[in-house]
Amino acid sequence: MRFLVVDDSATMRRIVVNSLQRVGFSDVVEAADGAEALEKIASVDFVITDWNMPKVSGAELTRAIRSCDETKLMPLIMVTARSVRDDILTAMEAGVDSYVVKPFTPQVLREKIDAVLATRAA
Amino acid sequence: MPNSRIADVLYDSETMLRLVDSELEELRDDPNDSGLRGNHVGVLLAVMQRASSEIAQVLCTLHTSRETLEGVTLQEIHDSATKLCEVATATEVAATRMMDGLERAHALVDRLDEIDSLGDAGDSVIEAAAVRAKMRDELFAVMGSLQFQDITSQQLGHVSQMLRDIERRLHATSSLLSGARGEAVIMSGEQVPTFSESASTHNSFERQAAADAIFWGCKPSRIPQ
Repeated sequence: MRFLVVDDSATMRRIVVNSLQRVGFSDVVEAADGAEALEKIASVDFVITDWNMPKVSGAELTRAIRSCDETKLMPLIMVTARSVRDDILTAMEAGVDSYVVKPFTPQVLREKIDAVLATRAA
Repeated sequence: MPNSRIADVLYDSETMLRLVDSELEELRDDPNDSGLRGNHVGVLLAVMQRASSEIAQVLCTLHTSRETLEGVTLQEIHDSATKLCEVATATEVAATRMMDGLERAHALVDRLDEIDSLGDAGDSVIEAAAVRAKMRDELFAVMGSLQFQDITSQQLGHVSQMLRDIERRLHATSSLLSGARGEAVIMSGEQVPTFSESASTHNSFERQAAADAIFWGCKPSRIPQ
């Protein structure tokens, strides 16, 4: 399974990539913002995206993915520092499958990935 | 009241005061002409009434501006100071965690050296594997602590935004008093930071649990049909 990690912070991308490797997912590509992510979306199976990014935000990226027939079923998790109710509801409305609050642990990330994949498989 | 209107009122008030000054000058120049003096006093009275009205309007505007500055700007300065304290604390906590983790990792390396010196005797191979696993955990925990950088950069982005707002207000106030007009100077090449006002390194487990409760409590089915 190939993951796409989208975050404008290079440090955070490395942390997410290392966290994925830590929990057994080593096939990962990266994008620094939503626009770059959309260019790479066709070659991946799972998206993990930040929210606050220049050009195209994580919420806008999610809406773009959900509005396209080829990608609307793409599993997608939002990993973000936003943790207030309205933000979470906005992310839900945009179409994220799960929501991880920064700072996170690899275990939490793994739980969310497993839950999303289990829901997809059901 | 828009800044341009405030500047106009200030300008008009200044004109009125000049008129008063001019009338007073003329009175002083003709101290013996009682008819002319009576005429001047009438004009002066009218001018002073208009001036008084203009000055009252300016004072009212300045009073409102001061209240706005106090109410909004002081709150933003307070919020900025709070955020900066959070950044300082988060940095300190992360540095301490990383230092603790590195010291534990260092001790584990020492233990591996000791195990190596024992050769393959007893359970040394098994213990070495356990020590290596523990060291990986420690190093990974150090890496996880680096998430503070992303969060504090968002907190600083928030502070930066608030400072820009304060700058704009101060510039507007300055323009009001000087009569100058124009936008606050923004440094060229300046990037507008992307940030979350709620970014925090505190209580991450509790915030994740709250997010889960909201997400799964409200979620009907996220899979598009």
